[in-house]
Amino acid sequence: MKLSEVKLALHLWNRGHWMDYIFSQGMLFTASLLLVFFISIGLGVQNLLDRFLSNDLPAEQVRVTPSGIQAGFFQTETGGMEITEEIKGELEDSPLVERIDPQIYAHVPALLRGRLGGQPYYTDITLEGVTGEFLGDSLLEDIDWSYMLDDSSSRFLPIILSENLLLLYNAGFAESNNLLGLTPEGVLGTECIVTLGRSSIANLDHPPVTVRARIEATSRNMNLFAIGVPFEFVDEMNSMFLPDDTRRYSALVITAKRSEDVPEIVRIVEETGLRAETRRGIAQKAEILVGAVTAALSALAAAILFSALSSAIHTLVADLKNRRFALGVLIALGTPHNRLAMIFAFQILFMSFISMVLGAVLGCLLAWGASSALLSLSPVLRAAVDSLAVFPAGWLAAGIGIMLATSTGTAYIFFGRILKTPVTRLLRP
Amino acid sequence: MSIIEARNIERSFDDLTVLSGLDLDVAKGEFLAIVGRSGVGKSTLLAVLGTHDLDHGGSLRIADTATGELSSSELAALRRKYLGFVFQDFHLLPSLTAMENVILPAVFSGGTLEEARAQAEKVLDKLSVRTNETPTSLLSRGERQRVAVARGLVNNPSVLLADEPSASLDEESEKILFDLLDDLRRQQNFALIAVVHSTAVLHRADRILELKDGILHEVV
Repeated sequence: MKLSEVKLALHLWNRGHWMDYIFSQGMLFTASLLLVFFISIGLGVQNLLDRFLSNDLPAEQVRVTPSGIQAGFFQTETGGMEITEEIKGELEDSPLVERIDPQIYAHVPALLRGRLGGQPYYTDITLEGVTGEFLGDSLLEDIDWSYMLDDSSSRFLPIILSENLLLLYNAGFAESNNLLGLTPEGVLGTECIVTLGRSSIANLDHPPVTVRARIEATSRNMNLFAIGVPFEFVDEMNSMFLPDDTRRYSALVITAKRSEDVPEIVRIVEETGLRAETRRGIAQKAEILVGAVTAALSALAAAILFSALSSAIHTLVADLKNRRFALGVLIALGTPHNRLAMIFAFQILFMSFISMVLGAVLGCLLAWGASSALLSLSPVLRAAVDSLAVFPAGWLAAGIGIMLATSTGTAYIFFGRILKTPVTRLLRP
Repeated sequence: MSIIEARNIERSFDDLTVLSGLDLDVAKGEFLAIVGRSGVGKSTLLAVLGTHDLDHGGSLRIADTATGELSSSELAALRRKYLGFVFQDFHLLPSLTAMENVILPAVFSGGTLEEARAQAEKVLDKLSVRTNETPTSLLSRGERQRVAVARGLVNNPSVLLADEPSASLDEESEKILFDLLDDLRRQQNFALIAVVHSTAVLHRADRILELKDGILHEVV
């Protein structure tokens, strides 16, 4: 049977009866809208939390930091443990440890100058030396992560900027001064001047060192006020400005041989009085909480959607029962039961498809609208994520497809049963 | 050769026996009038002959095909090919036009729409039914009856079963209807089996059979 014939059959059969389906199809439309809205906003909020709260540490890594609050040149004296060469050596000897990537502060005042949005700026900074492994393989392909003072005449000092610093800039400075917010992608390639040995509040006797620098990457693993530069350059500057100081690390990134060993490494680190940070933490808990709320709301919407589909089937079944004379005539005049069941099941498929797709599209638009409204209100959010609405199109399409297939199959079985009623009973007054 | 052969047909509803060893042969082109008291089982007989009621004893052959051995879809095909029906209360879809009501079974059965439409136009024209956009709910009772007849004849059946087709029609409308049916029957050579009460109609019948005590008696 051709689709045009099915359409004509339904067009004729339902003339004057389309309004009977308004309520059930309206329910279906609303449920579909809510489901898509909850899922997309829920996933968007999860994404935002992930951006705000989590770090980029893989499951097999532990980040070790001193117990005192330290920001390079500025250091609070809390009596806490510092990461010395000796502690690093002990950790490297552990059979659980695969590799250690150290980070080190420049214990030298530093100043950064440049132009941002056409305006000159300068700020005190702290340099933190990190190894190439910190950047990851994908970035290392594009960046030459080695730099010594001798390179200053021929190359830019490569810089990694803390994304948390960007957030601070967007939320505080940019907003209060009506400046545009900065995105991690937007600052890449920005050139500036870094001066060591001088800052707005401190000067060393040693002559200052000035180099040209360029932002090559951003990271969420950097300390808040620190700017990441090649490890050997910071080591060189510390030796040049403070030759008598012993080397102290700002952080160690430990890669465990197996991710199952991470808790044991954390225990060992914490026993030494240092702080250990892993991917597990508040971010994961928050993600689980938001995930649970999203799942609950989506399950609720899915239950409404299921009820709406049942209601749509029930409405058509009730309609068929009310029009049993007409059905009886069709069967009496030679229409096979299975063809009638197929045509009415197609009606469910067609109407439900239209209602669900329209609902899903409007749900997407509403989620997008809500996301745009929230982002326009908060530069912090705007800087953190592009959108608060995430549309898993493939999953949504698959979900709608499964719902439609199930309801059509169920409707076919229901209609088949009704249509097996003897014709004489259908035609009985 | 008979188009319908019914042998030893039995049909009961709980303790009530309605048809009891009924035999019937119907030839093509024949007009058979069924009479009998109210509630004697005339409509049941038509339902059995039309293969609507399958819970009967005995055997029924239509166009030399034993109906008892057919599947649901084969029965539907048999009805579509050989049988037409006119119901007492018409059972038209009130929001559809005359043309749409007539072609609706063909549309649902997956038949060729153009053929159905052409055939419907021909039959409706012969029955003098307007083929405009007027829904059948706005037609007169006589017109609706003719639409129901057209729907029964649209597939060019070998047998037209009609259950009191002229009930509640005035004499003139009844005469017009049966004049048309007589003409069509001669042209298309279908057998007409009708439950009738009107004496005027009975005079047109080739045979009058009275249903009594579960079997048919020929009325001379």
